[in-house]
Amino acid sequence: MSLARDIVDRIFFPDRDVHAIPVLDGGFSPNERLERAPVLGDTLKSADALVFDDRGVLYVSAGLQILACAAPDFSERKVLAEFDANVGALAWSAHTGLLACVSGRGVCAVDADGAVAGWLEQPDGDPVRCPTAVACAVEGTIYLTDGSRHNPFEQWQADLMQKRPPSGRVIACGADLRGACVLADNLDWPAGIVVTHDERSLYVVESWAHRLSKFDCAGGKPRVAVKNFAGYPSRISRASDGGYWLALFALRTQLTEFILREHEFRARMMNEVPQHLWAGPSLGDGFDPREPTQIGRIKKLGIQKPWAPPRSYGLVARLDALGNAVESFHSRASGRFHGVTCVVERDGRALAVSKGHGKIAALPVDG
Amino acid sequence: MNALRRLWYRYSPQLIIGELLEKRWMEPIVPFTLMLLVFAAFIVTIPSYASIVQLQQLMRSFPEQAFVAMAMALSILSGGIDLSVGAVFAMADFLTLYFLQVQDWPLPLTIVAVLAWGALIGAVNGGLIAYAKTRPFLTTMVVLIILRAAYNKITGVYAAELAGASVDSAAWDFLGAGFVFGIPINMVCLIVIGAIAHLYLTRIRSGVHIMAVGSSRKAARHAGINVQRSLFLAYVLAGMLSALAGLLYAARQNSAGTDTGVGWEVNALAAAVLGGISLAGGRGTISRALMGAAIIFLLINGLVQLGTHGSLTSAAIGAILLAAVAFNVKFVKNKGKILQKIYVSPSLVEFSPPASIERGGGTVFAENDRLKDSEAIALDKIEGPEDIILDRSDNLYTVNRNGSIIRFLAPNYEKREEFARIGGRPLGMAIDRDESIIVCVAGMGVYGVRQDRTIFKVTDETNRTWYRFKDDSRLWLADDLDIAADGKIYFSDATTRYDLSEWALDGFEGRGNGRLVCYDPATKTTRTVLANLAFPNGVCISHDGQAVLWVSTWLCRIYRYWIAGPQTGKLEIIADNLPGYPDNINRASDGNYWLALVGLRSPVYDIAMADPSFRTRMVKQIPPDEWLCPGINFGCVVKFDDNGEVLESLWDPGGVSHPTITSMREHKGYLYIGGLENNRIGRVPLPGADKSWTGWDSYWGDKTKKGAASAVAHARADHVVSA
Repeated sequence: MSLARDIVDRIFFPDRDVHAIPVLDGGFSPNERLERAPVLGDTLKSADALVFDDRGVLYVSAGLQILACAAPDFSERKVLAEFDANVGALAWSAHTGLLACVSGRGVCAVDADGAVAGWLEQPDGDPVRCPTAVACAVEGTIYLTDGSRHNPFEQWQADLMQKRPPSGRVIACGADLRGACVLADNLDWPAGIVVTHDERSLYVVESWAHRLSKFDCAGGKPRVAVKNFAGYPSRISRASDGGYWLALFALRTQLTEFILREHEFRARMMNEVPQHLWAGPSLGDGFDPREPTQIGRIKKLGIQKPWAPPRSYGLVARLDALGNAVESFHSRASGRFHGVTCVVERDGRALAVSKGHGKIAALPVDG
Repeated sequence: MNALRRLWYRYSPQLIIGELLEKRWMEPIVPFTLMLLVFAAFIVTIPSYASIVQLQQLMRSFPEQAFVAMAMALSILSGGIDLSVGAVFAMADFLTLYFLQVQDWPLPLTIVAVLAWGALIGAVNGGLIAYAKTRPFLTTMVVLIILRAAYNKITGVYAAELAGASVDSAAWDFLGAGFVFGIPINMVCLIVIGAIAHLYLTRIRSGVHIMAVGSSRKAARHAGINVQRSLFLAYVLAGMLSALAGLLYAARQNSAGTDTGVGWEVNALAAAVLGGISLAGGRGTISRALMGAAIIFLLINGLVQLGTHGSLTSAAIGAILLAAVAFNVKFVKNKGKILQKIYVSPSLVEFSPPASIERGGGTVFAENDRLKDSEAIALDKIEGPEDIILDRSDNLYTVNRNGSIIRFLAPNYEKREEFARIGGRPLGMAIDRDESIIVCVAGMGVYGVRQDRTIFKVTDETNRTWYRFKDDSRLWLADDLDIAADGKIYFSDATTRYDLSEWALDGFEGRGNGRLVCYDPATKTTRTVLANLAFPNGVCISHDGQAVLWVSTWLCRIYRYWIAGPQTGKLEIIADNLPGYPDNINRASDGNYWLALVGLRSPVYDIAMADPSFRTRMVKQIPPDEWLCPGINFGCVVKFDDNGEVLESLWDPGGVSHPTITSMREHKGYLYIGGLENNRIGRVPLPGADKSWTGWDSYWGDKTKKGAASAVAHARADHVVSA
């Protein structure tokens, strides 16, 4: 019976999300490569996004600040700009310069001295309160994802648990941050966007729908490229080999999916329990001994098993041009590089940032 | 409303159904119900069906068919089939009449001769099948055909002679129409022989061998059972049962017609299958065959009484049998799955927020680093030291997950030796006056090891709870114990519904599944002292020897049960709503008590405990590794006094060296720390503690019993034993 339903679904609703969590297999086979990758510089609390400018300077957003880090190992960090609210995604465009997403406000352009050059705040009169990712086309157009109309991006756990109807958007605007228009609406927490290598379309990641969709740059109906990721996909960026880097900030677990089906319990949990103690995914920051435990996470002979059901996890995947995972880098349940939110590649290495553990690591790039 | 909910979840009918389904005797529930239904249906449709006369009539007609069904069942249980039962029955009927009426043999001789006839045919069947290795189906069918043909021939020859003859014997008449206490004599025979047959197949060696051969001939042979003899015996017995049926039939009907016994083998086969006896052999009982036979008999009899046309009767019976057998097959096959789905039956446990454990939060539970730099003893030389204990010469004993007790020799605890290997999963320990180690062994009971390393059993069972279906007389999960001054051993049997490996399921239930048990060495008896406790875990005799302190892990409480003094028998809660799950309790040198909190309460889990249906769905929908559970990776050690007041706590933040802290033991100024799943024993110095204090001296030394702590403490709450 369920097989028949699957077949019908496959044929008539090819884009519908499938709900069984796939096992980590094929390109996603677990390893320790992210765990073992060399860490650059000191810990950087709540480091979130990375971007290179055209001279090879690395910009890192962390908390309220944007830091500029110089090569070769980016351990020399200086504050470029500071905001009133958390800074999230970053992008670099030859036309506009550095673009930064500011929680609760929108996207701004930051010039070389750290001064704000302009804002995009209210396209169509609807404020961008949750700018999660930004990408630029070569000709200068800026593409931006607004995760949700209900929560700023720090409140991602709440947004996941509230399970409201999807309200995320993809917004496009000119290089001068003007002429904004909404390319797509009602997306389920779009958290990553990249312009494809051929500059004709966009890959948009929806975290809560666990999928990667392809949009035409001019808008129109999307096509789902990958559905049912095993984790919550986050930012996506170009890889040098014609593929893409995808950061997955946590893994889906059966418990989380179960709690997402338990409406009463979830409501009570959101009401009564502090957010950092909720059952559900986490970035791995702020350990508290009262957080919920699962049977498989009980230490045996003093060892936390790496295959334990993960509350937080570190996962970076390299996708080919069609979105299929070619290889992946893991920091497993027992690891110390969790909650990867961004990966960028330049000069033969890819830098991944663990927001949970506040670290930046360099991953090898082999052809 | 909530009280009602609590009550519902506490006495959930699921519990009873779950424990019922576990019973072997629940397997024939489908045929049994069908039998009652058929009977009830005819009571409704046929006037005065349930009258005494009518019932006597039914009982009079039933036994012959029942014996034939029993014979069939016996052959099927042995792994074969006996199709000749109907023909043996008919021939026995004829022979009885022939011997009695034509040959004028006395009745006893006739009975012996007829039974011998049945045994002879059984021996032919059994000899061919067991020793000549012929197929049971074909062999017995051939015997059926031959006997049937012979019967038709012979009855034809003697028809006239039999018709004219008669027997003048009171015994013979009694056999045909007598009553014992209002029950027809042949029914009495059936009851007696049925009971004997049941006992034979389940209790007597050769009967059990027949069942074993039926289950698996190969395994039976490997087990040293004489397969051929067992098979032979099964057919001989089947033949004798059929012959007995023929004898009783003759006594009742006094005739041998051409259609006597025709098709009875088919009815018998149908009865066996309907009763749920597996055609593959080895699975089934005599009572199930009788149930099947009763259903068929009642159906035929009832439909005939209703005046249904013969062919319609057959069709109706066929249809009902088909449906019943199909349903029964499904039921028997899926019973385990049903049980699995409904066995776990969570109850409602409502917590209020516990005291803060925040570092610097100002409470006695505030996190600190006092265990952080503990010295590791036996690192990686021990697997799961749930409890530790030190003897008078400072040697350290601990339990290992492979079922042994390991000793580390003083003074540096480098030398490891296996002190004793008991098996099971040893947990809490104590040292008695003779310096033997007494240990609770999960899955086995309470055992002891003398200093000369000999192992002895203390106890492995207690009194059974009379109102429970589940047999809880065996100790299920003996967890921790302590020994009172008079030598009585008080120990906790944490749960009677789950094994140690399934402790989390018991946690999901949060119900009073456990008990506090006492072994009295004077009378060598074991009695349950307190029943229906929610995972009683640590047990400790108070310093003054007047009370047993014990904890309920799932309810996060410390209880005191008075065993001596003016309040004997009183149970009270002395600490409630602890921020973690309490485990073992042991005495401290300053007159207080150490308590291990094996895990910390998580607010999410507390909500789950207040939502039983959520937990039920969780257990059903997601795999065990993903279940939410009490957070036993992080715990601490606390000290409390006789009033249940917590005085201090010792922490290993993050559970780096000491996850799953289940016990601690003070000895000569040090505190030793054990963990259910750990790979080490920790040791920290206790500043200010009595450097000469040992546990053994506290219990058995000269300076004990000087009325140490406060004599009487006041109760903190009414006693509520389980959630």
